[in-house]
Amino acid sequence: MTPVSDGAPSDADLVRAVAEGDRRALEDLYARHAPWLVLRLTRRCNDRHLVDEAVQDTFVAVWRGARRWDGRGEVAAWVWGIGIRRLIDQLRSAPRPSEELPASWAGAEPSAEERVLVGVEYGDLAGALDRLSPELRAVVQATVLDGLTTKEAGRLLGIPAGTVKTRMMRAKAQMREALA
Amino acid sequence: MSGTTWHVDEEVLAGYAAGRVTSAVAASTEAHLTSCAECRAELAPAVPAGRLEGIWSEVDQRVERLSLPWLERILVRCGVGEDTARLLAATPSLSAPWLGSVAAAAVVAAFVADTSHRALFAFLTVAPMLPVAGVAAAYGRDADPAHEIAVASPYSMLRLMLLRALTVVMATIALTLLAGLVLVDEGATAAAWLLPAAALTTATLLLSSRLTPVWAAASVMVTWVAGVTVAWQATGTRLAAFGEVGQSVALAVTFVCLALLVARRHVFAFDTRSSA
Amino acid sequence: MTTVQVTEVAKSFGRTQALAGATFAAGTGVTGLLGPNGAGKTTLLRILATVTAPGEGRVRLLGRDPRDAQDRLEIRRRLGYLPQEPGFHRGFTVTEFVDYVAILKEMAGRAERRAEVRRVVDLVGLTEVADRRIRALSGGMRRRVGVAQALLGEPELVVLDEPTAGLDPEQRLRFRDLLSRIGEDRTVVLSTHQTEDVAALCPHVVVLDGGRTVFDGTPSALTATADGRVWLSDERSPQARLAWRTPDGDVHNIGDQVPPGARALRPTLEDAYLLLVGDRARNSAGEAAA
Repeated sequence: MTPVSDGAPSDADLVRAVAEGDRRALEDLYARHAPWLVLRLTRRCNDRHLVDEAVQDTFVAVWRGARRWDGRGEVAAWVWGIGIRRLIDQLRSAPRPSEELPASWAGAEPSAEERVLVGVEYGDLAGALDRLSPELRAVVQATVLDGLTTKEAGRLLGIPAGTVKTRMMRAKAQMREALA
Repeated sequence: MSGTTWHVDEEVLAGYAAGRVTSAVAASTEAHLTSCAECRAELAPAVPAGRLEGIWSEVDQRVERLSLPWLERILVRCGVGEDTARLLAATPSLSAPWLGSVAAAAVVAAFVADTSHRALFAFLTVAPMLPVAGVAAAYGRDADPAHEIAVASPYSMLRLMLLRALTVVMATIALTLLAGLVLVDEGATAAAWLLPAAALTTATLLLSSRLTPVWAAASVMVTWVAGVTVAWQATGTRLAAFGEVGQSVALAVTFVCLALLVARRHVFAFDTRSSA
Repeated sequence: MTTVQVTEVAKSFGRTQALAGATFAAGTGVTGLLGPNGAGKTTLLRILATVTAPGEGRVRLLGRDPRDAQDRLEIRRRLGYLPQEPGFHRGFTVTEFVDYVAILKEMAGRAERRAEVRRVVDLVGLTEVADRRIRALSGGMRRRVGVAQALLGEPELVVLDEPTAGLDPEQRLRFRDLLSRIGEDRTVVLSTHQTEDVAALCPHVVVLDGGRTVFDGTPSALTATADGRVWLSDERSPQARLAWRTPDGDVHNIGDQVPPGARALRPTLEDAYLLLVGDRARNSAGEAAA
């Protein structure tokens, strides 16, 4: 794995190169972003095959759509946006593997490092998130954290869009209570 | 704040990769990863290399298909092997300008042919010469910029020539046939140029074992025009060369040329050049 | 085994006699073919590359006879060739063109072929522009594409016709480096106008003139033939066969013998070469440098 160092092209440089048809740049982007994408998608879908297909589709889409990247923000965020939607497409055409949502690990006390991380990113909100039930948490994760629309969240989780809305309302209410 | 100077602890990352963290921790990790290349790199070994390579090879193959020049894409879609498609893509007379000119010539000739019997004669005479021109520009030192490199390779030059000639002939004939059948109102007569085209093309290929393809094509075309004219003058019928006798002669010529071509195939192994 | 063995080879095209009796042998390492225009270098290289049939004489390449169809095929499987004026197909990218040649070299397996194409493109330093169209590249880069395709499949015999022509000094240096690396474990035969290329790169040099071999040996041996035959003067000496004014203002003379009292010079390879082939060489070199 090539460590990122000074002198290496930035992600934005690579995307621009891909837009001009540079296939090595695509390979470099893949090396940098495929691993975390695999892991992050796996947390939304247990089926390894579907995740692989989604990652594959993502990078082909990166190849085709590099010209349309607006050049703003993190490339990783852009890649994630493509990736999660490709996973949703895979889930639409594949039979639902199982109704079980990836459970949240409810193990030992969070370590000091974990507490710092959570504090850094989300502060108090995070604890409230953990205390939600799995269905509510999944909905919050899909809409708020992953940035999906109600419809897309519904496709990802295999529930109707209406259910997504009601669960979001309940989640918000619960979290408001927890933070009050 | 998720800047580049602060990073997620190794243990936490390992936990994330293994699915051993709470949702809050996972969400926080993911948020941090979105803007931190070092942590992404740190996480990379957690995914087996074999799995990543497997996905990549699929991506690579699909991207390759998407990047093919248009001609190769069409050929592959028609069932031609990728390798053969690439060999054909190197044919100058299979380029858009070339095929466009052929189509234009065919359309014009056919259009005019519909106006009179005399013009039909012109169409039938011109039509077989189009694939001949295509063949001349398909192979050989005049047409192929990398001809010498090709000769020095193990690939059979005869095979390359025939492959390209065949494809060019098919493309040209398809265009001309279409123009003829659509525009000319004489029914089957509009296709009476097909066998002569076969004869002329094989004759060109045969002659290019002796002359350069361009000279071979020129000789064949001149002979053809002369032959058609002679047939006309001798019998008084304009379309004499395209009658039953003419078609049989064309068929015979085709077979003879093919046989001789096979017999002389060793000639194509070298680059025929007249100067140092 | 001596890779290349050429004995009294002659070749005519119509009334022109391109080769009138060339003889030499070459093995592992880089062999340089020097000679003025019209000396028959390109014809000889074409014969080595099995592109032109040998006329008379005996030719053995990799122990085989290029006149025999089966042998020729086997030679071509172990051969790499860069012609004098390499042409490329319009619209092909570097990778596509090298891939095209790889197919011609019977590399059928897609994955291995792609890997091999990438290897040779990296070897000549064209990794950055691998997906660029060749027509958009500079002359030096196009030349490198030509060398890349000649290296496909790790051929035992590599024949290069004027690989450094038209390159600027920096590119030429880089080329020499690449060529000596290639020559370490295979036979490379290249032709050139530039005696500096030969001096820097070729442990074995063959000089052709008028279709005949006029020298076959090491560069130092060639240089030694000009010992005592090079001198400086203020004006052109009558005894000089060739003379030219140097930038310092002196006249550099080469001839049969240093006149008594003249300032003798240590000969360079170029001096020896010019003595051997005379005026023709100076004119060709002048044309090439122009």
